[in-house]
Amino acid sequence: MKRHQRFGALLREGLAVARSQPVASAVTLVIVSVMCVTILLTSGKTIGSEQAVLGTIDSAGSRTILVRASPASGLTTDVLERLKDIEGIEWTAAFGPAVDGVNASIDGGRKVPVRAAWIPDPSRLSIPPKADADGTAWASAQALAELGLYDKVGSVSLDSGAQHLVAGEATVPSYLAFMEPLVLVPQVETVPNDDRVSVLVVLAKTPDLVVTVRDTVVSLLGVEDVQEVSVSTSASLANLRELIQSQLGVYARGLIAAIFGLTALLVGCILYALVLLRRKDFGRRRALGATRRLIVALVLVQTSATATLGALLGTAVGVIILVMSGDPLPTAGFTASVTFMAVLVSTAAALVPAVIASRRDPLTELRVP
Amino acid sequence: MNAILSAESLTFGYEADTPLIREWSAQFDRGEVVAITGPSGRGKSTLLYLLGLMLKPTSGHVRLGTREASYYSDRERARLRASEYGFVFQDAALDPSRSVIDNVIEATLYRDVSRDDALPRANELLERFGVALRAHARPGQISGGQSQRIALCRALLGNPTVLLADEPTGNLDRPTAAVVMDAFHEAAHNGASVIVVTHDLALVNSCTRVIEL
Repeated sequence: MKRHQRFGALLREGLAVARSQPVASAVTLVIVSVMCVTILLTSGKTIGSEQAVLGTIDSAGSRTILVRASPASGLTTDVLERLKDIEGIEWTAAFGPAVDGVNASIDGGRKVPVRAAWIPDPSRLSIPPKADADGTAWASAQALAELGLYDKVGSVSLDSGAQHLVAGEATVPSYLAFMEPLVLVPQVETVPNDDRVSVLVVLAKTPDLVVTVRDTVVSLLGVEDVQEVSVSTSASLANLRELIQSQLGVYARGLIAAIFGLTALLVGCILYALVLLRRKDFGRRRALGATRRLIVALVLVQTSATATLGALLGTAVGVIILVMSGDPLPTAGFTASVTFMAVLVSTAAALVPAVIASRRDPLTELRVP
Repeated sequence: MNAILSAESLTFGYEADTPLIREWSAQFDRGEVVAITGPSGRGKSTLLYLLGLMLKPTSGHVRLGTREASYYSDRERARLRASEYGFVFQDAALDPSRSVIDNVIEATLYRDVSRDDALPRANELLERFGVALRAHARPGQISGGQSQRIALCRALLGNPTVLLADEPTGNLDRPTAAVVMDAFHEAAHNGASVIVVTHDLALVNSCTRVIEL
């Protein structure tokens, strides 16, 4: 036989053995299923919650570095050019000083702050890339409401007499919420550019890079008077994030290890009992020419086939329960890992009974009544 | 005649200081049906399993052709059992959870022969021994005589060089025992050496040689 035919024959025999031992197979299947369900409903739920909490922290701006500069600081839009190629920075935006603007169609309308904005990637705020070319303005939902621009279009006039056409709504992420109500007038970037910046927002790629990126940003500000600049970061949020991640991670890992360990013990015990019950079967096989390795392989195939079925069933049931109860779902990677590990742990637990089965003396086993 | 299997100064005991078999020698040739007889407890079955490479002798040799088989590794002895031997056990030793046909072709897995290649010969043997209609039954659904005939089919499937049988007719009625005896002689006629441990006088009398333990 060729290798694949031999493997196919072994698989077929292992499955047949699993079918021929319905009670042991069913018990193994149930244990592995329960293990997967338990892990998903405990650690899986914990990890799902952890992801949700971390997501909330991240959306609250755990990666933000905020630079506020007074007009005397000398901070200009040149800083964007200096930050452009810095590793670890995901996004930058510079905003000019706020000037009052009103709905040009309403006399004595409510004033909202209007800022010039230099945003290399404006799509994050739902502003089209070329919006800086025509001098149009983009307003947040709050600003649109305060301006009375319910159709999301109109125009704002500034104290200076200048007018800007409001072309649409800009979405405001949580880390820019402090500037609400927000009307932005995207500006064309020019080099050199010495427009004054009053707010610089930098997003680090990951929370753990916040401190490093902050130091880099500070060193590249190029301001005339450092005292006129304040830099705030979300380092404390980043620390909190790390703390939550590590604490929940340790808890989840410990729980998973305990459940896997218990399952391995149970599966091992069941298979050991099965090996004792099947002494005559193993004796006959050995007498007819089965090698020890083949006996081990048969027990492992039998176990892994049952465990695979149990793991898939348990995972499906666990996910369904989580969905129905409205609990946060763990990531697909975690779920797949649980399924895979359940099969691996069960199969590993079968190794000792399998070796014991293969070491039996065929003659002694054949004489078992 | 050509010696297929030989035992030379074979000694074996389950306890080191009380050998059950002591300095035993014999030679088995092609075409022979040899009966090993003697009182219970003399080690007839043990001797059969020594010759069948399931046990290692304390001293002495079992040679399969020119091969010093008794001291081969466990793996090598298992391969020889699968490829060169056929076994018929006293109680048939069928797998109760598998069908008759699956029992007959069980050893093909150990012999590296595909199931598809073995099926025609397995069906032919079942037909010949009158159990073809029970091919898909479970051993629990067939009689003791049918079980022993199925065990015989399993033993003959690989055209063994050596056929070993431990009390093969012990639980059979006379007509079924006669079928088994005929099968042994036919296997011997086809070139195998058949060694039978038995108390059955009819079977002993039909053998070409008798060894008393």
